[in-house]
Amino acid sequence: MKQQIPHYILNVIFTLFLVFSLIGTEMTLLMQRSALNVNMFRVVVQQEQLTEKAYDKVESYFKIRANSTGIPEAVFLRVVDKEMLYNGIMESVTAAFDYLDGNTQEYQFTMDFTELEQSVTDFFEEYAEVNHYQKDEVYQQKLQSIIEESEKQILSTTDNFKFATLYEKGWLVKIRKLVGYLNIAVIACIAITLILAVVIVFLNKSKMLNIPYWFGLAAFTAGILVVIPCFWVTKTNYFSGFVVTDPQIFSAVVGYLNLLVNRALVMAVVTICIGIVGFAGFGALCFFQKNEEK
Amino acid sequence: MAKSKQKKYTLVFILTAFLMLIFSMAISVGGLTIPYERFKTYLHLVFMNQIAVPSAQSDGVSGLVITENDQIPTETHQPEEMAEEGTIIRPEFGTQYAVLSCEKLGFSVPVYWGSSEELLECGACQSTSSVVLGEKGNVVIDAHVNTFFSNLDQIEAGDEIVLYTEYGIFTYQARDLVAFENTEKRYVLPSAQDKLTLYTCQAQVLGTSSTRIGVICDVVSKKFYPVGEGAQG
Repeated sequence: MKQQIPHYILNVIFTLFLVFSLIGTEMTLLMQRSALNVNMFRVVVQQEQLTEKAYDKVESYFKIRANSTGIPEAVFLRVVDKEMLYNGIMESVTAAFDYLDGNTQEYQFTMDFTELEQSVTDFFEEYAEVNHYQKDEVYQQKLQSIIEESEKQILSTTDNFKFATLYEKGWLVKIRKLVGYLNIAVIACIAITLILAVVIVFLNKSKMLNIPYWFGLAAFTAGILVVIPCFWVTKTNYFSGFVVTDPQIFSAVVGYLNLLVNRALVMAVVTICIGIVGFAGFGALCFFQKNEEK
Repeated sequence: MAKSKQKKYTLVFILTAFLMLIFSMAISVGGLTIPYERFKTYLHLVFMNQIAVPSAQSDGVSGLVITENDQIPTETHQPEEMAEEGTIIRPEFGTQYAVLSCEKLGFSVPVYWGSSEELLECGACQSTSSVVLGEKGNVVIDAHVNTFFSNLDQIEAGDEIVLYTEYGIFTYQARDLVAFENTEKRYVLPSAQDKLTLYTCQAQVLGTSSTRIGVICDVVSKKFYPVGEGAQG
């Protein structure tokens, strides 16, 4: 019995390490597979109907601007449709991940505005012709200013996740560095987990029956530790308190965070299930051994 | 004996599971306390808005609650016992709190407290950096030239402009017609002088103008409804 106590304590200690290495593995995998994965952002765009929200915003902008510019919103909206905005949104996400993955040296996102420029130019020319408005330098300046203003607005609206702002503020550079280390972090966490698992196997080599128990315990505890905060965040709807109430940005950010928490929750539940399987395996092995002994 | 040993082992395994959970939680809480304390302020700032969804009754956009008000009395009949001093009701942002009227030009425009693109769609907007009607200082109101202030340039010196609110009636007389660049702030800044400043963009054939046209008005009278009368007029 006395010999068993240090053996037991060692098992507890290494299982405890295994719990945190499992959490580390879960979190780094979550970052790699979801948080910093281009597909996750694409899912959010679809799920939160960001294209529709972007279109509403652009439509409202041009309608309001018509009051001060005298240019009917149809001049813009006949060429700016949902498909164009959807492509723009996807382009902005792709451009951001090209930069984050190191494929490009800077974040560059632009759209093809040839049709928009043509539409505005046509309107100006038609107006000038009908009203005998002189096409002087001021005319060209006004035309250019309206084109630039509308393009800027569309680019800003399609950049749902505000990658341009993140890039300007230097955050995207920091995330890019993080992405560079992420693969190493995932491999390191998996390696540590495997080493700890081997150590536990080694510790229990004389009593292999206990191995499923310690593994199950580690998985179960790691799962519970992740489930509790995720459950709290979901239950309290914590992210809905996001201060930016612009419908489009709100949906993009809150949708992204909620999806991330949901995925963490799924991952944690799977880990708990693995833990329960471990316990069940241990129970079953004990039962069979007991029967054999009989 | 073997049965008792078996029971003891079972108990140890069960207790170990609970202890492991408690111990891991304690380590997690302990380990996360310092980072949480560090980022607590930022987290509270980013997720502080508990009224994220605009009210169903509101026409609000981006968290803005626009409130129309059809209770403001604008009839020419005025109670006899109106006072020169009274209680001023400071409106909420996005609330229509006055009606601007110019009998000569025949216009009547709702005035909202605060300024935003959405509010400019609904009427004229009063800058929150200017004083509330009834207070001493510069009352600054603007609107789009293609909508509510389309005939502002037709106001002439001496024309009377009346602002009706739920708590009083404020009469002004146009003094100066001015034009200024949108970068020039002197007409819209707070002032010690009691006045009303109305402005809009200069009408332009295409695009927006950087020139603003305005009317500076002097106060003629400030009349407050007796307490309790207000909107009933």
